[in-house]
Amino acid sequence: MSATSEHNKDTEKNILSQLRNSQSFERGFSLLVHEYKERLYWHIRNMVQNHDDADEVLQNTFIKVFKGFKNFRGDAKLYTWLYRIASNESITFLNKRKKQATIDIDNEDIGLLHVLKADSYFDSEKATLLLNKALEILPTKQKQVFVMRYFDQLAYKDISAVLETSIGGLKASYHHAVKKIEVFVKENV
Amino acid sequence: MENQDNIKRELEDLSSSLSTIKKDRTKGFEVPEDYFSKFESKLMQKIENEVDSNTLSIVSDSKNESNGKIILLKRSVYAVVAASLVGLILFFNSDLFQNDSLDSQVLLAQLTAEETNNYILEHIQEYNTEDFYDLAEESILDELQEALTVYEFQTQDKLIIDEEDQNPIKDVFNSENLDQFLDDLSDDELLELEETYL
Repeated sequence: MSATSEHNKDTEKNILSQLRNSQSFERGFSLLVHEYKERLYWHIRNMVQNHDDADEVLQNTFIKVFKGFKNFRGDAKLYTWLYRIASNESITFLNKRKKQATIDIDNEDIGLLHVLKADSYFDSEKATLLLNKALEILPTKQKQVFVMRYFDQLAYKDISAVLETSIGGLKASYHHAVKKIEVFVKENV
Repeated sequence: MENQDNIKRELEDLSSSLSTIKKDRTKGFEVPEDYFSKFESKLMQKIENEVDSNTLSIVSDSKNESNGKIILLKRSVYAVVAASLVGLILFFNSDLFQNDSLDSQVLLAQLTAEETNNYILEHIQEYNTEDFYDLAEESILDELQEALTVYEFQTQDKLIIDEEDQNPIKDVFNSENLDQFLDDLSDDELLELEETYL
C-alpha cells in the first residue's frame, strides 16, 4: 500500500472517529472540510463548469454532510459517501438549471455551452476548452462516469459504489463518453 | 498506481488522440484568490444561519411585544415539510391537493422527489397554514417533534413568564404536549398565524 493511500486511510479514520463523538463532532467536520473541499470542488466543477455554481453545490454538499452524518452507516468509505452526495447535488443542480433556463431538451448543449463561455473564470486555452465543451455535450450519466474515471482516476468498483450502477454499465458509459469526446474534439480542433 | 496505469491503458485503447491531451482538470479554470482558505468560514457561517433560521423563536422581550401572537417562523414549517417526503406525497395525494388543477397533478407525477421538494418550497405561499397542520397531524408529527426539539412560543394564553427575569421560559416539547399544543390551536389562531406569517 502506498504512503498516500495509507495517509488517506488514517485521515479518514481520524475524521470518522471525531465525527462519531458529539464532543468532537465540529472538530471532525472541520477536518473533513479541510481534507475533502478541494477534491470535491474539482469533481463538482467539472460537472457544473461555472465557479459560482460549483461553490453553491459544494456548500450544499457539506451542509448535507453536516446535517446527515448520522445517516452514514459506515459500510461504505467516507469519500465514497461524500462523492455520492456531491454527485447527486450536481445532478440536482444541473436539472434545476435546465428547467430554470427553459432550455429545449434538444438544444440543451447549446445552453450549457453558453454558460461555460460566460464564466468569467474560464480560461479559453484551446485543448482544455475543447475537452470541457465536449464534456457538456455528454448526457449527465456519461459525464459523471467520465469525470470520475478520467479526472478522479477512480476504479470501476468505486464508481459503482458511488453511482450504484453495475461495472458493465459503467464501462459502457465510459466507452460512449470517450468516443463522443473524441469525435467532438476532432471536429472542432 | 496500478489502477492509474489501467485507466491510462484503457484510454489509449479507446482513443489514442484523447490520451495525448494533457490531463489537468484545473487547467483552464480559474478559482478566485483565497477561495479555498476562506471556504470553511463561509460554510460554517451558512450552516449557523440555517440552524438559526430553522428554530422556532419567540420575541424575547415580552414586555415590548404583543403577547397575542404565536411566533412561528414559517421557514421552520417549510423545513419540517421538506424533511418529510412521504408527508409531501401524502399531502399532494390528499383531498387538499385534489382541489387543484389537473395540470398540477400531472406536473407532480413528472417530478422527482427532490423536485417535488423544491416545488412545494417555491410555491409555499399557495397553501394555507391549516394545510400544514392537517398534514402534520396525519403524517409528519414525528418529524415535527424531532425537528422542533426545543422551541419557544408565546401567546396571550400560553406564554409562560418567569417572573424573576421576565423572560419566557424555553419550553421543550415532548410528544405529549406538542400534540396538545396542535390540538389546542383554534381556527382563529391558525388564521391569525397564516395572515401574519405566511
